[in-house]
Amino acid sequence: MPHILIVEDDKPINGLIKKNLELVGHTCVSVYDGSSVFSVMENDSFDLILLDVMLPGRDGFEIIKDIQGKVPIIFLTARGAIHDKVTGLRYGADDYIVKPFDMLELTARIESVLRRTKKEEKSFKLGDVTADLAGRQVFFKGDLVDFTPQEFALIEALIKNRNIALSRDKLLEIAWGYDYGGDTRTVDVHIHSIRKKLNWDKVIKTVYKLGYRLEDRA
Amino acid sequence: MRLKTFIAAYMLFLGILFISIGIVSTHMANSTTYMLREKAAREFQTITTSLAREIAAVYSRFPGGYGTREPVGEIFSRFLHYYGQHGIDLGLTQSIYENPAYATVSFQPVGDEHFIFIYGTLPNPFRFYSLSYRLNVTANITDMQGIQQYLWVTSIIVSLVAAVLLYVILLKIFKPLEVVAVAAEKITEGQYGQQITVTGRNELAAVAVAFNRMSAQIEAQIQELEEENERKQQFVDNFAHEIRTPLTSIFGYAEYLQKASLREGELLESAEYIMSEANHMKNVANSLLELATLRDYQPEKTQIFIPELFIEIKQSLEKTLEERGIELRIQALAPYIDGQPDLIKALLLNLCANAISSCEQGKGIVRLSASIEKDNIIISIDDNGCGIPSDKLSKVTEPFFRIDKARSRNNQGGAGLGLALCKQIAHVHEAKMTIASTQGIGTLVRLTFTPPK
Repeated sequence: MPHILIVEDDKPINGLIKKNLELVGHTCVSVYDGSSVFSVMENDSFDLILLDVMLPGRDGFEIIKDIQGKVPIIFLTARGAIHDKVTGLRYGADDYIVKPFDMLELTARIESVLRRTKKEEKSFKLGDVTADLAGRQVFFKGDLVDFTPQEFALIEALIKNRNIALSRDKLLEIAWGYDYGGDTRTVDVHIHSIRKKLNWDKVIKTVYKLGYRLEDRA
Repeated sequence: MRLKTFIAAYMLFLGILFISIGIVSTHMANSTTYMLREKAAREFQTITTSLAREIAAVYSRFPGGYGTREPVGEIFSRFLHYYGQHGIDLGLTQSIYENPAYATVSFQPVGDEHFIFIYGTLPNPFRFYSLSYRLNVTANITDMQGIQQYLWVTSIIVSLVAAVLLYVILLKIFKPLEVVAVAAEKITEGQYGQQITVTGRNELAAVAVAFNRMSAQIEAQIQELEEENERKQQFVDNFAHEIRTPLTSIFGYAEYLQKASLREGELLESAEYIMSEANHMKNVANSLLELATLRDYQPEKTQIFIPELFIEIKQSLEKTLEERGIELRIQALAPYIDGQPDLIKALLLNLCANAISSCEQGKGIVRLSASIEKDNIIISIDDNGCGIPSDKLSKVTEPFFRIDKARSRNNQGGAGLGLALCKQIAHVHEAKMTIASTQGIGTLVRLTFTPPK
């Protein structure tokens, strides 16, 4: 389970990010100013830091200099100026997210940095189902279940964005890419097949007027 | 310009030089020939006179005749011999008739040589004799020509030297202009504030002085423009931040409500965040609108009774003061103030709220006082709070400015427009707002209301 440090002084935004990341299975620690980053880091080790640029205490650029690439960093800021992005990336940030951002953008960018640093979630377990995401295999009650590559991609997309409702279009895009030829009916067909094979009728919820959501929250 | 000046000045110089040399040499030639003519004429006179006297003497000694001997020929050959030694050729002719008295003088060049030729009669009674006189003046003429030549050569050398000198002088004279040109070029390239060193008191120095003034003025104005521009940019940046931050929350929580599988309580929590952030945006919008409205606002002033105003303010702040454990002391040593009551109250409330929030929990003392100084009514608010860093003091009244660059909204929750509004309110009341502060000791805000004249 990736462990993420959120450094953001605006309480509502900090809380929002934390909630979003916890939905998809990350664990988070929130920090509201620049000066307490290092004391938190002494007692805990993180796979990723989401860092606001303008912070009370010490600003994001100062903090990233001291971290010296030990932990991957994504800058998070309202300042969209090119010059700030360049500065951030030059200091060694792995990515840059400009506010306002949407949930899926946030999770996708985090996912991409985690994959690059090999800290991404490698397996997922829910009830009788265990998914080996690295080995691209899914087990039901210990037995390997046969899935087509398309079905597996769909399962992976649902797991990575679990507890978030995904539209059929979004699922299509995340699982199979933009250039995939099928229409949204294809998604329904595959979802039906997955539900049947894993007994996931209750796990993959149909969200009215939106799409599907894989739920693992009690 | 320099080349033109050089050519014009040099032409003038050459003209004057060569015309005067021409005049001098012509005059010299004329006076030399005149002198030679005069000399020759005198000599001719002497010769003819003495020749006539000697002939007359011979005739008087031999009145009867001279026999076969020709006395005139003898006498003349003596003369011929004598003057021949002095470079004068003489010739004597005899005519049958008596000539009228005359003499002609002429210059006659023969080959490379120059001669003065005089032909004339002897004086009475020997006018039937004519004397020809030829004086070789080649040496005199050559001398004169030598001098003329010398004059011309010298003047050519002089004019060459003059050319060089003139060029050097012009170079020196035009040097300041070149300096001005270089400085102007630098200003064009954006290096404002070029200054030129001024020497002397001539017209060029005046140009340099004017240039320096212009340059300084340009620099000052450009700087002012840049500052103004920076302020505007800062305002836009701040405004964008001020709008984007709550928008991020509003959008984010709404999306969360839409897409997440919610746990108990999350619906309420998210809705609350959405509402409070929307409320914050509303506050920002209202404050900005107020700020914009106040820009050209003419307040309808009435007399406000200060003690009453102060008590009202204290009542409004009662709850906050209690929460924060801060004491507000009021002291009204001036009775009335002219102003728009709502605006004045908002102004003082805002300043007091700022003072309260700068104070440490439970330790703060804020004083709100009014007094009269030289016909002006002074209202001052001072606190013993955290103070404002001196480098930030001049900027605190700018819209959206926050002392902490992270512009944390968590503690004070304002839109960052409070002091900007205060300044504007003071401005429309023709009052002056000054802020003095020492970090760690406190802040003093003074409002000086000048009574209308």
